[in-house]
Amino acid sequence: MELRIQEKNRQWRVDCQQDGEFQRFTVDDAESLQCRIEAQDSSTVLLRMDGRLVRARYARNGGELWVQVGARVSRFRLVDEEEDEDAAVGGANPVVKAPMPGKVLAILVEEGEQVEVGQPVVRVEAMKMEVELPAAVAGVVATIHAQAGELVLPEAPLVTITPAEDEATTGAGETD
Amino acid sequence: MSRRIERILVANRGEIAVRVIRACRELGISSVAIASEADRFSLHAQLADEVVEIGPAESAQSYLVQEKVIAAAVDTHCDAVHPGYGFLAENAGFARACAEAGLIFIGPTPEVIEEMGLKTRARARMQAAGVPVVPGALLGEDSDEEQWRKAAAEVGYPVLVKASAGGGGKGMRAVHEEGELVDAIAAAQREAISAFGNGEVYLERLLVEPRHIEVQVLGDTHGHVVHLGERECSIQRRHQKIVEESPAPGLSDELRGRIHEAAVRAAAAVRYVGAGTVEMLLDRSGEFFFLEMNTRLQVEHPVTEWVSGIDLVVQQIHVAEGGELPFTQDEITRRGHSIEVRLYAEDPAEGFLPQTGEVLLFEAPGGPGIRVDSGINTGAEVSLHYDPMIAKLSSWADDRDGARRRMMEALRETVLLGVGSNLSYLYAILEHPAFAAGRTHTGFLPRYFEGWKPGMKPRLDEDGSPAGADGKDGGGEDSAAEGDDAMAMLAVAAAVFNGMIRSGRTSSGEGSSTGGEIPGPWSRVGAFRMGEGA
Repeated sequence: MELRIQEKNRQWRVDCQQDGEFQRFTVDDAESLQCRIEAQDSSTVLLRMDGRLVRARYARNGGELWVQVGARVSRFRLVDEEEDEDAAVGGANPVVKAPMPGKVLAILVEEGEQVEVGQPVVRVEAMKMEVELPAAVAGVVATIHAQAGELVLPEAPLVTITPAEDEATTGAGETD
Repeated sequence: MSRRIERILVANRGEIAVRVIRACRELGISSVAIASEADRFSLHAQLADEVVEIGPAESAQSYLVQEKVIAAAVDTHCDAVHPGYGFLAENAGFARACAEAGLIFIGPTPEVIEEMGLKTRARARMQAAGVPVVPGALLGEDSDEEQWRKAAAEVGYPVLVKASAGGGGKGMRAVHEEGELVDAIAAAQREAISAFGNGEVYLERLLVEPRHIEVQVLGDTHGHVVHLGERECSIQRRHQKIVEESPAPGLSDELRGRIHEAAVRAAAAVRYVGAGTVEMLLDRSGEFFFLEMNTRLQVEHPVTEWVSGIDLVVQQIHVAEGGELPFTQDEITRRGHSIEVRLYAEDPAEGFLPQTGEVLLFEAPGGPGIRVDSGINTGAEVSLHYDPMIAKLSSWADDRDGARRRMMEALRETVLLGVGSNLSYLYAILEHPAFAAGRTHTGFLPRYFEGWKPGMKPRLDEDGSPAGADGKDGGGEDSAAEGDDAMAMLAVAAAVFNGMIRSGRTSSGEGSSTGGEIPGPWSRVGAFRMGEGA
């Protein structure tokens, strides 16, 4: 079985195969790890990984999986099939989302407008810092979900772009 | 004018409110918490004997509204108010209003709060008391080049030239030698005139990567003032303290003594009552200068409590009751070394933006020499309304390296899931060779950690000397360990996801799984949904 696991902007393909009493995880066809869960409860996993025992703490929140090993914390999620299609065009998401809680200062595009990859589409403010959020795909602005002055939560969709024909495969633009 | 305090209103929230409530319980004093709507069930509100709700989440409509806070204290028959730090702690008007309502304000007099709050007045007052201040000189619009040179020589190079009317860096220039002086002042004057309509400029000694050293003082109403030693707080990110310790590493006893003495002089000059902090900047030259005086309990007070064995909140209350300090300067001893780190809900992986959300899991570390001052627990909601500092950890050991190692272990044991934090950043700072070697100064984070993200190796000094130079630290071991950790986390994620899928807790097609599952940990935390679509 193959899992697509995402953390922030990184994505891994992890191939999971039974290997005797262990699982063999092959990451992006390269790194290979022999793993076995030795014990697990609702917040702790003892994972034997290449011979060493790793104690990890975890918690789930909706589709998010928070994992802590030592002083490091990451949040992962599984990538579903629809997003796989987007991944096929470079992992780019046609929906520009708020990266953190903050305030929308300005929408820099209009519906129907042609945008290029990297073109700033929204300006937001968080903690007195201004950030311009770029389009991750080239295409036409389909929907504007927020307006200037609005307070937004992380992951709130701000602008949806319909990817340009030559890049879109199927289903793109319906991700909202 | 001694008066026994029996009930205290804690005019704060978060970890400092918890800290004060704990002291009250120990002393047999009952405590009243105030809580905004958002804080109704936060830790401080859970621990107090009584809670008064004082308004909406926004602190401007709740914790900062003096009338509401005082009304809460009066309605619940409190005799005293402890302001904590932040919010109303350094508000002279609030201290005055407390007195007018018949409440003891646990802190210095309104006059002292006011005077120390005005930077220029505090500076003049300290200078008069013989406390060194950063040398400076005011140059009028009509001053000439001769006067400029003379003034700069007196201030001492390097100097900073700035518009005296200004702020925000307008017209600021660093001048390292006399040759650059005239051009710099002339330019600063032009900018000052165009920006502020006033060409007056101010010269000030430029301190390069100074150390932030501060001294804890305590005074009572009987005229006694003592110090409880210094704290080193140079590890700052954009003026936000991150790591503090006591004693300050690498000071000679002679210099340390002079800094303590100056701080006591500063506090005595204003007849200081209660706990206060005299902040100083220590230049590379070994000269130190008064920065400001904080007329309240400081965030980093636990490191002083560790090494002195004196409970500062208990002393604050004792002094507020009119009591005499129970010890003289000679009776105060300091032992060992303590380090504190501040856990902020700010994620270095996200450019240190404040993080919000529900704390899915919080577990405090334990073991010998570890103290936790936390304002959150599992289930708490971290919001944007309040300070992102959610907990402090402090460690103590016989020596600095012992305290550092204990803290590193404590950070590995601290579990915080659900809200991004600076946990890994704190670990990387403590692990850094320059920190291990005690080379702390305000340029530390800009120099070694600018642009740092979790999993990256911080920069080292040019000579690459793996500090500590005792070899035990092995500057090299972290890079491999970091990579291992990243891979281990991914493996854990894969194992957990894989386990969920195989036990039918999720389906790949239509989203969420359905009922009828074998009872297990997952059923308690709810069904897993793949992605967020469908």
